[in-house]
Amino acid sequence: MILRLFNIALLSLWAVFLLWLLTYGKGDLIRLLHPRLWWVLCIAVVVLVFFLVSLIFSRGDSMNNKSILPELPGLLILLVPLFYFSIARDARLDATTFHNRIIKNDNGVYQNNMPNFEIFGLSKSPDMLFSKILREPVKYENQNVEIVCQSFVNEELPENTAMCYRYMITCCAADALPAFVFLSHSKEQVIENNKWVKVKGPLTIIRNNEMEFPSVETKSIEYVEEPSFPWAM
Amino acid sequence: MPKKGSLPPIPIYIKPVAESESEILSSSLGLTVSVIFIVFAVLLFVAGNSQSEEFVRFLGVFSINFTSIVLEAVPFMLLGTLVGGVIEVFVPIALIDRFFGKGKNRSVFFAGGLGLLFPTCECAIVPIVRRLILKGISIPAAICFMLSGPIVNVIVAWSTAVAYTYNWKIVALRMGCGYLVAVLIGLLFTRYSKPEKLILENVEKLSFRSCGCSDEAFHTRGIWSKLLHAAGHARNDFLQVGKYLIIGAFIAALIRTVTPVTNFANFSDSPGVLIFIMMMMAVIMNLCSEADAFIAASFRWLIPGSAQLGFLVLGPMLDLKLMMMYLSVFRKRTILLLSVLTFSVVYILMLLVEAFLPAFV
Repeated sequence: MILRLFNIALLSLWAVFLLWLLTYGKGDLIRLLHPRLWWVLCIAVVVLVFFLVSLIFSRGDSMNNKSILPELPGLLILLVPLFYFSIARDARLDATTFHNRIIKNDNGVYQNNMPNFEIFGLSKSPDMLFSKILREPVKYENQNVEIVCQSFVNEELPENTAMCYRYMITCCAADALPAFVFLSHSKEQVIENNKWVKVKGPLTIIRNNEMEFPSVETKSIEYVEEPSFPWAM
Repeated sequence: MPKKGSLPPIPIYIKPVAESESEILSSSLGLTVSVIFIVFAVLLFVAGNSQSEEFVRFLGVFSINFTSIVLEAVPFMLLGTLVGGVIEVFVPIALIDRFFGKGKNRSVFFAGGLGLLFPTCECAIVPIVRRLILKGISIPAAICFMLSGPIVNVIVAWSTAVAYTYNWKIVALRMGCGYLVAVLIGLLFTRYSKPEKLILENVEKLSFRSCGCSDEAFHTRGIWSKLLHAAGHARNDFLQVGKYLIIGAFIAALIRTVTPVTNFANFSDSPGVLIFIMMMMAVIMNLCSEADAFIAASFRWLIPGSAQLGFLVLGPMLDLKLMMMYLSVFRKRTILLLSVLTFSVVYILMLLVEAFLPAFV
């Protein structure tokens, strides 16, 4: 009986958690999971409710007659992600993560991870200009652009050069890979590391070993709040 | 009944069925692992109040990785358990026996392509396979499906094609190699004289024979009653297997947080070493068979195609999260054997690909 009550509480907690994420917690969910997978969470809620119904109406289920003690650790483990979510809400993938996830070739040249075409359908959000530039840099060459991305300042980069990046998300935050543009700035401009910035200026293309790297000549830079959709797509 | 004129059977004392020593050991080990994990998870959580900025940053990124993996994987696992429950209640045993029955090598070949009919991701595959074994599918065929299902399916083929800018050669190679490796390992397991010894005893005990699904009276029940029964099986599977998914996701997130990706590509120029490194990377860093194509594709300018293919083929078969989930079905020595076999077969195949196939990426 106690195990049954515990199971009901556990399944209810998960169902409520997922339902909350899909309704009031969208701002948090978007930082963890690609929106194209949200429908799977909806199905998960339905399945959990179905499990609850079956648990409430089940009679003579052997699971219900088990002692709670041996089962307790296994059930508590299922609660662990809910606690860690409270930390994840306030945390962000930052410059250190960028450094850990960016790939460099033998010559120390950073590799961009953005595929050159739209993967999951065009987004109408103006924030997507960053992704569009990375996908088709030639189209924006010599044009004035305005992008919002995170700054990355590093000693390995040439003088008066910084990087501005977003993570390209495929499924979830854990598999997100950085995609970046270079920022070339004047000596007077000091760019702070690991900040969300709005950069304006003409776009040029740096070509290296058959690879093209977009670069924005920074005419103005403004520190801004993190956008509601922080990813590149 | 003894035949006329033959001697009656000699009454033999049969020891009452008791929990075997290995099962007690297995469940107590599972309990110990669970308790150690909870203690570690709680300590790490509490350490979040640390004054060290660096540690708080690390814990934050780790929590993002961990919860995002769980949020991505748990729904698929729930669906997998539901499919398993439906199979348990609604799929006739005769059908399973016909195509995937014990002692039939052809069942392995069928099982290798089953993912094309039922696209299944790696988080859903273990609960489904668990139920298929209980339903009577031969264990080599179940292993073959478990290995090939998350690779040989259209969704994974599509994501691979997108990640590699519609390079169909790598799509065909990934699916072909996935099928080949799964069938080879499945066939190797058919040589095992007692395949039931490969799975946990308590999995055998969950058999349909004990729950009443196979009783004639059960088939006269209404659809709602049957659905509830299927949900009951699925729920029990979720509660049993879910903890392994969480532990696996926790370890994967920890490694993902502390390991720089760039290190893997810079160790060597030798294709043999790079294949090995990428396969190791697949084991410790693979998250999902759909997303791993994008991770592998990000190495396309740096390492040979064979090494990328090694990552793509091995990841959905043998990563940390999966290995933890295998604990809910197989004995520890089976997991060890399966891991060594899978790693070796994929490695040899990739060396052959490197030696005999022209560049394909």
